[in-house]
Amino acid sequence: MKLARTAHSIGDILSGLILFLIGLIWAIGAESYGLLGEGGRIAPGTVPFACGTALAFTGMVITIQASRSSSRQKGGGSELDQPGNAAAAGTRVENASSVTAKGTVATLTDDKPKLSMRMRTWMSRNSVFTVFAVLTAGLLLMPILGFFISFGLLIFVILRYVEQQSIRISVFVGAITAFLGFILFEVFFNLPLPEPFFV
Amino acid sequence: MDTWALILDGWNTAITPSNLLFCFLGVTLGTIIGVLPGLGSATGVALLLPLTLTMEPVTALIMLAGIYYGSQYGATISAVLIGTPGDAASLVTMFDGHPMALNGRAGGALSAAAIASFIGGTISLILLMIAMPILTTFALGFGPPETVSLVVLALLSIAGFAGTSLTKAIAMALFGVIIATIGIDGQSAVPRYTFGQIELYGGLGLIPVLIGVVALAEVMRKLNTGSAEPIHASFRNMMISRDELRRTWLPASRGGLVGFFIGILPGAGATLASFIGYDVERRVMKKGKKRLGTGMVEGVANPEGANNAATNGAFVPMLTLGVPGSATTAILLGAFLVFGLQPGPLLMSEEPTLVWGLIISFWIGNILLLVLNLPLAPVFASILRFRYMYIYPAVLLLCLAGAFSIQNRMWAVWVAVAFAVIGYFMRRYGYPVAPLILGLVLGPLMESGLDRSLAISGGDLSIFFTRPTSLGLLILAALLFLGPLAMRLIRNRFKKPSVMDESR
Repeated sequence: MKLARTAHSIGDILSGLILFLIGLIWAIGAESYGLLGEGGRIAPGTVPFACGTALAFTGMVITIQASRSSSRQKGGGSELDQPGNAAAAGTRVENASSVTAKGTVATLTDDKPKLSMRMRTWMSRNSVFTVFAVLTAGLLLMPILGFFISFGLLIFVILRYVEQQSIRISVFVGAITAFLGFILFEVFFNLPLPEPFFV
Repeated sequence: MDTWALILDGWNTAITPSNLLFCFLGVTLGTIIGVLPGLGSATGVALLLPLTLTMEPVTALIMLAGIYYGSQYGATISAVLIGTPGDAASLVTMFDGHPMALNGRAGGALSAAAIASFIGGTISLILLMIAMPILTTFALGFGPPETVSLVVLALLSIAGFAGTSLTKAIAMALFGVIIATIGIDGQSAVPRYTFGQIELYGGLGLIPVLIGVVALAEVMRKLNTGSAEPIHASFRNMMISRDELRRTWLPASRGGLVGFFIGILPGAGATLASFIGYDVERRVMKKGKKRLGTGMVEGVANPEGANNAATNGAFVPMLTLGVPGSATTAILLGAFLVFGLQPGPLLMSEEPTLVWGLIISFWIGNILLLVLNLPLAPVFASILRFRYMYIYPAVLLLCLAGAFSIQNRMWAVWVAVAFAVIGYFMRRYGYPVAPLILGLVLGPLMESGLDRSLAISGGDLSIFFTRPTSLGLLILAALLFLGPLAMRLIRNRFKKPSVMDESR
């Protein structure tokens, strides 16, 4: 739990810094749009400048707060984190343990795990990053293979490699979702979704 | 036209066959979405909004609103049966509802919840009908300075009530306003932060951002979490007992009253209403020997009445002032804008049939939900037996195709995915989503209001403090901003982890 909380503080420090940077970029960019309008009115840059500056400030506050609490924890402090943070961290730990449990089962069944098995375990453990990567790949494929084929493949890969399902189930769910999606969006709603190159 | 004539007009609109059908569809889908832990009303509305674009505005809004309050009913089912609330607003129901289920009274708890929700909904609708004309008259005197003050009020109070870190909530509200500045400026027609990309000239698009940050990010978070525990409740005795029924109506009415008044506060929402309702009931029960938390039907009835009434109450600031009170009403406000309707005092005079048709549909929807839930709660509960991995392919499909359908281009899908990444990390590090949505929706309204106010005053900022209504709203903003400190004390009394950092 302590480990998760420290990781959380690092996340807060980083996210605060990112918000600080976004705010700064917005405030600097606003200057080129003008900060004061004519006759006391606002210029296109007024609101972005004000909000950018405020965001940079709050980002800085988040970073400072997090680095303070992290240094207190390092010093053996036991004070509680924000309740919401603790809940979020708890959920993460829970998720992580469930994933690890699955991974362990997968490894235990085979003394020398095959490459595909190891890949599946890795992808399952890093499920979120895998899904984002697979999602990006799926979207890139859409102009070539069309929306529904790419989507079916996307679901297949997620079920097979992230959810560790059998090939049969993964193919079945992928195909069914793609087909139902085709009926709903292509036939019923007539959406001009990307089509495969061979059509 | 007097109010009665308007209500009658609204009734005639709400009971047309197509509106009834889509109301039914909305509440059914809402219940299903509510049952699924993690998929709250905000996700449901964001997910299904693109499917309603081809409909008549009133029909679409009736359906979307149905998803909103229907999901409250559904969330209760999972709170009672598996002890995992489908939505934060049903967390309190779990305290007594789940013990009831464990004692073999799942049917009694679910029926009491459905009846209490109906009572709360009905009370809040009567209050809504009284409040709407009064608030509309009040809101008609609003000028640009009052609009700005009202937006400040909404943003500060939602940040205050956000449940996690106040700094993070403010940061998210500011981030929302900042994202809204991308694209051609409404006042000066200057393209801002487009980095020379033509795609960005029209802005990022409200709906793709919402789909990403609300729905798609939620799917990411739920990955690899497996399924809920199987339900071992017996449904032979689904009928509520006469004693339980007798003990339901009064707590539900109390909850309905509390819920409505909490609901109309911008930012407070159904979660807080259910907590306060439960606290009220605890105080009432203190006089007797029974204790809440041990499976008392009163502990189910009051928060259920309260959260349903708050859902209706949240429509008051949204419809009359154009300022949403929760993440879901902010998304619904986005839906109004997509249909070319600007919620606010003028909407009531320009589109009375739509507004009253929508309000009357709430009541019809509540009757439908009561009829659906009394006998069918076990059927809805069976959705919980599905593993999440069979559900999210469908959610993912709705997200991607839905984002595409808004602008008919892949660009919107990319925006949704990018914001899913942002939304995922926001959830992971305790950044609330609701302030971001409100900032995004209200940012442009604030900017145009600010521009017009300063044009009137010749650049003098004191215009916001010298007009009584504007000053009053700013004082209220300050109070609501500081008020949550007191509210947190109330929450801490329950000694439960705060899980309401998400959609309310």
